[in-house]
Amino acid sequence: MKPPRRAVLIAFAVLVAGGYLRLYLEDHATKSFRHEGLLSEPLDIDVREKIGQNSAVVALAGLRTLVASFASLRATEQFTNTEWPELDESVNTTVQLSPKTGYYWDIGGWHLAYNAAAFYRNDPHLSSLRAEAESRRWVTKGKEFFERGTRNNPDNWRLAAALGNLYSSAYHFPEDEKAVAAYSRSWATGKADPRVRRNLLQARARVGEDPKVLLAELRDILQSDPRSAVPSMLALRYVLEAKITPPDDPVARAVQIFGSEERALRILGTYFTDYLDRMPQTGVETAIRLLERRKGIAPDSPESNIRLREELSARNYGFER
Amino acid sequence: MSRPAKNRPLNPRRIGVIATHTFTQLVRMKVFYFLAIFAVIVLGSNLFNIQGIGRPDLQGMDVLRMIRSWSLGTMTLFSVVLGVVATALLLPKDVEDRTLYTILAKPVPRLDYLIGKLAGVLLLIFVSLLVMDLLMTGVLTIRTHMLVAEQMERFASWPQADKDSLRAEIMAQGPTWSLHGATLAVFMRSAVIASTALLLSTFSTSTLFTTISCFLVYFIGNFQADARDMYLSSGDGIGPGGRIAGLAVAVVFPDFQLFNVIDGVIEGAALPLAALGTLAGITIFYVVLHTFVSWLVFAGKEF
Repeated sequence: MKPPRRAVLIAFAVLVAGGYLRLYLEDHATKSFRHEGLLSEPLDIDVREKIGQNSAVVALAGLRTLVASFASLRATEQFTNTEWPELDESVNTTVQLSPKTGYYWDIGGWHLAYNAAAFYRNDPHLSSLRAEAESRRWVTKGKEFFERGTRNNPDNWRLAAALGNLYSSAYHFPEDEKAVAAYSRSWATGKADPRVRRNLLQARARVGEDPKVLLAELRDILQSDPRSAVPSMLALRYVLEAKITPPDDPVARAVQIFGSEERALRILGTYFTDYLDRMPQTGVETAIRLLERRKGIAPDSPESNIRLREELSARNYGFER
Repeated sequence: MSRPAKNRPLNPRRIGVIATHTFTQLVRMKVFYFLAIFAVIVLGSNLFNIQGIGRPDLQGMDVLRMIRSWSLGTMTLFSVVLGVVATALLLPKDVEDRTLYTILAKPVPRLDYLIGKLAGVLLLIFVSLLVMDLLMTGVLTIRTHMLVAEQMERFASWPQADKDSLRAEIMAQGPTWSLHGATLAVFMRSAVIASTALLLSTFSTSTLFTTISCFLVYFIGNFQADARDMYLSSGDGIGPGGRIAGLAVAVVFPDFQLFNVIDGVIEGAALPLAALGTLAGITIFYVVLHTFVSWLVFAGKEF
């Protein structure tokens, strides 16, 4: 039942000719699919070694995202068992297998920068200096992880915003200029929700940008979206206005912005005592002293925000930079 | 008055009869039992509610991605295995059952026979994938709506714009047209592998040899793009020998990596119609080429 040799040769020649015909078409299609984000770059040897021979075969046979799911499940288990170095490898493998899944970057960065860092900071077996250094190392890992994630997914506003939150966080060695850059990238996607714009404005205030520019933008935010009139924005408005034109009557201006003395004291008090947030404080202390005096609260009274801030500052949880 | 020749090739009715018979023959082999396994896998993937700790707005999203990933992964496995094994079985089984002699003794052109057989396998894979797609869509729809309801309740105090943004993000993880497009891409991949198996089975005399070689072709086909790059790139470090080897692999083996666009869809990318059209064009090219080459070999074969 063997086919004639001549037929086999002709068949092979046709197959090769057909293969040559499709060569450039397939090359063009591959490049185009990669450009559109439909195809990933080839898996590098390092990842193949990490995921093991069997998983590499499965991944290479068109099931990369499935192997990524398993790597992600493994990371969850390592998180439960607090196996941080192993988790580091797993989350990196996951994103190498599936670099366009924002979720994997988000959850991986969160594990590294928040969970692992907190674990080492509170590790009773480490000296305080060593715990601090370890914690910083994991925060840095998390930041780098998020940075890679945003580079791989420039359209993902959530990742850039998560990176901005991490750079802004008082508990994670803040870097305000980088926070501005991250929030700007998030807002530039045009998909981010209004909170990102507010966070961006706060980050710019922290780095000390021109108050006139900031105030103009803040007014624009409040005008275009009245729901953005959240306490932090109102407090920032008070500070920026005080920076540009110090008020003759701080209480009157506070009432004008916050609506009532009661609300002004509550919002400015929270803003003032959250000293780790590193927001500008121009005129806030004066306004609080005046508002508290009108309510009959002495600066050394337990209810006073002035005293509370002093106490918090004296306790210094080790996050102040 | 001249009458058309009875054995004129490419007769749709005749091909249809052979395809239907092949389909029935495969159904009798109880391959649809796999659908029950698929249902278990889809429902199982539904239970992996694992992450979202500390990020409540992400809670539950992983389950939707897991359902998509596991469903399309299982569809890929099923369709590739069925495409290879069913096609590799057909010719030897017809020889063994002696049905081939009965068919070829009639005015049935060998091309029609081959096309009919391949069409039967593809029909079976298509029906199976359709059922699996419906199952996946059903589970995904229910889960997506459950998640939207949960999240909307949890973030009831959020401004409407923020809630709308979250809702849109969750819905994008649910059933989409791109997901159905990905199922179609899975089918196209299986069509190429089935036509490859048909080609190999015309050369070989053993089902086992056809099956093993076909899986090897599938595996190498996933590296074909690398081989093509070796040939096309004028980069350093690749000598003439390497380029020729790259060319040989690129022209002989089909490029299965192209069909990995399903990974992009699982990751959330939209599958444009143009991309699906390109894949369809490439699939048709492969199927026609492989069937034609199979016919060249099969036409001269003596039984």
